[in-house]
Amino acid sequence: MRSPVTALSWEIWQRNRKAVWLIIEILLFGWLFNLVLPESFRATAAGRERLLVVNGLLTGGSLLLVFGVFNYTEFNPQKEWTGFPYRLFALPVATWLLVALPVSLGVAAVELAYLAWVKLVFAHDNLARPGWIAVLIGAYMVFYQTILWTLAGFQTLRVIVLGLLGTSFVGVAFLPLFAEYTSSPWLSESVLSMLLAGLTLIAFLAAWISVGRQRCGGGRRRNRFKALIERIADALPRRKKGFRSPAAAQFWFEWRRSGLLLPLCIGALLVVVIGPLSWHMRDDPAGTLWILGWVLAMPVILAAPVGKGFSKPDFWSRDLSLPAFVAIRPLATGEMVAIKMKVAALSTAASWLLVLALLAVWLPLWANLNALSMIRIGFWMAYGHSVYPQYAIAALFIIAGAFLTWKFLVGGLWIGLSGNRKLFIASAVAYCFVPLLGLIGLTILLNHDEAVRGWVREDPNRLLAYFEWLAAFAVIAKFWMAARSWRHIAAQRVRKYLLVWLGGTLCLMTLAILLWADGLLDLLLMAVLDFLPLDPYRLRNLLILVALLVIPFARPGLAPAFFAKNRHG
Amino acid sequence: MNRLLTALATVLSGVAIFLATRGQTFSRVDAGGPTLRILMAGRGNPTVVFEGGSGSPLEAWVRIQPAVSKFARTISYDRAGNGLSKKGPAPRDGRHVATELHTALHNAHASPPYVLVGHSLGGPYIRVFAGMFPDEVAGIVLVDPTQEELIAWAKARDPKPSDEQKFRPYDEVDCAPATFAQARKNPIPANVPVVLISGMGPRVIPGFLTKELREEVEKDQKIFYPAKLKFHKEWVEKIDGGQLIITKNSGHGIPFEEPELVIKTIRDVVVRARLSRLKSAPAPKAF
Repeated sequence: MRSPVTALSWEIWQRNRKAVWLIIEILLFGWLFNLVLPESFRATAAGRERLLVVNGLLTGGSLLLVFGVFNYTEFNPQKEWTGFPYRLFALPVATWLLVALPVSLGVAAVELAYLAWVKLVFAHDNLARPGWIAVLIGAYMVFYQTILWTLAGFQTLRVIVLGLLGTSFVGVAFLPLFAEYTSSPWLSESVLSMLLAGLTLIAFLAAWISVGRQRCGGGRRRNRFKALIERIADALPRRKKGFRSPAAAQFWFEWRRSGLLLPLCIGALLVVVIGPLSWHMRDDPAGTLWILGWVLAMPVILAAPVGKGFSKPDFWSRDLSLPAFVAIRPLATGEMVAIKMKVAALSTAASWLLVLALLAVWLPLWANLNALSMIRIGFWMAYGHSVYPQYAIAALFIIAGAFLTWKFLVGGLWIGLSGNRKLFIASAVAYCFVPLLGLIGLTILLNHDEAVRGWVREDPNRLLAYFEWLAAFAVIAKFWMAARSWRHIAAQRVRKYLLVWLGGTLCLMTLAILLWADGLLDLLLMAVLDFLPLDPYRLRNLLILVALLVIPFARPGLAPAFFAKNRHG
Repeated sequence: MNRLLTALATVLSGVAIFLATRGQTFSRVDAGGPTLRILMAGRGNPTVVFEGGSGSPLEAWVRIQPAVSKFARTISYDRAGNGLSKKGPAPRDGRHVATELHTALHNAHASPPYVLVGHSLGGPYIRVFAGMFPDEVAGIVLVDPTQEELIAWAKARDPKPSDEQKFRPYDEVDCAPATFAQARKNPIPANVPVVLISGMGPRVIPGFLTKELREEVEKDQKIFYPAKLKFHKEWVEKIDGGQLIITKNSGHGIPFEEPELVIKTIRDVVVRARLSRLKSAPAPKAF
């Protein structure tokens, strides 16, 4: 290489060429897709709207990839942070150049990608203010890199700041719209662009100073919060007693490494977010229902990402192979899987106890219960003026939530414990994207496709029947797979798990029947969520089929065999 | 394969297929303009026809229709513009509703006589139907029906500015005054059993109600319910052979709160209709 700048540019390309090709492929796909699309599709407003959604998703995805490419950071084991690549400090290059290179390349790349989309794909659409958007995207790239480097020691704060900045930029993007309604010159595109350019320059200077300090050995050495936690942990009384058995030791180890995380997250969210929010919305009856819904959904929603980590042999390690420290334990592989499942159960129980503690304080003391009372009246009427079925529903609801949380923690054990990185990543991608894309697709279809909407509106029971068949096939597949996956597992363990499954599933089925309330659920869905009328019997049957699906059966049977392969090579 | 789990898989596969194939079969019937969704079940004369309250779909009868269809042919339906039925022509008054129902019953091959069951606003609709087609009606069950006198009384007590909302001819509640007038004009046919169930309950207010809701319920029980009972009583007294059933176990939502009472009442009316048909039938010729 003739110069360090060329070498650095080449390195960025070398490291990210797959992502760059992916960006180009997405762009080409969008261009060709728009090229081959018949003109008649654009002729209708609905067609144009649908196309705009697809093009918007593709553009957003490709621009996000550009930001990913210019996430110019590396992990520094000495400082224990992910910030500006430390090894580059040894190069005979001035700091300003080290900083300016990725910044200018990032701005150029994101502008180029945006320009390509505007010229190739959105050529037919009269995009509003493309120049202003280009300024915003370029400025965000500079801010993005500055935050990545300057807040290297603050992982969580960095994510929050980036999120807040992104949200603010969305708000700023709309500011020129208000210029038409006010006489203020500050809201014009040119003045805002100048202001943004000034702020971008300041951001660049901040990045330069921060990286310069890091180069001179400055910067935050350790996360203060982490240090504080460690100090508290050191001060706490430690376990001095010996363990009764290797299984007990392993249980303790698993609990400390991975089991504690979910209850800690939930506790923090309840104290920091939900508690103050519930107080703030104490006069709003609809707010009570909204908060209640989120509080009950929170353990399940959090269990999904935590479960991905929980399924790995070591929660905090990127390596999926079993650590030697664990592998040499005098425990059978099946027993280790069983311990993980027990830890998941304890983690679930602790999380739900925290949720119950909040509900026990919030609901009687400061919640506005008017909206909740209206729903309760429905069940009170449906159950012969008795409140006991409501208590049963509440209890079973908590049990169902706990089972669902547990399912998300242990459902992926067979993948995580297998040690197969590709399978793990594929499952994580599928986990994130399939429901998201399904939801987006369904929303787009239902909101924008008149034919589909008309079909559903004409008879929603047809859709319900499809869901029923889907659930029925899932039930059949699940239990035949379970019969196969548990074939090498000891009969006693099979019977034990079967009992757990039966108990849990019976609870869920009872909940489904109680909630259905002889057709009341149908009317409640119509009244509260504006649902179309559904066949009450089909709805009940679907609920029962879903109840059969909730608690995992086939996948836990696979875990010991996959784990054994990982453990013994 | 694990034998125990294979057995479980076999059983649950059967259960899953059984559940996926169960469901109600709805029909679409032309009502001389709009197409109405109807649910027919059971056998035997007379045909029991259910007319729901304002805006309610046929699912509102889910606790009653299956039980009644064990001893009679039953039909519940979505009025035009409600549930999954298409909108009908304006104005949505009792005459339009009754005519559409009559056409729909004819097109669904549900021959008269009919026992009409109407809840809330469904009450005035079946009164209009009975007045328009007196020969086809064998009995009437009014389940806490909306009584025009009660509405007038409530309006007089709490007058609201008339220009508060523009009249919408496609809205059955906006058209209710016309429906009430038509119901008054169309007398109930003679010798037809008429039963009115008036909901005066529930006696006990649930403890979980908030203070505001409790006050609302108490106000209803003190002021509104006695007036409702008075108007229901006065109306039934005008009907030859009319019967009033007062229940203190449920309020306005009787079809959901006390379905067994409605089922029992329908059964009684159906039996009486069958008996009166037997009496009016010509005596068999002696050999």
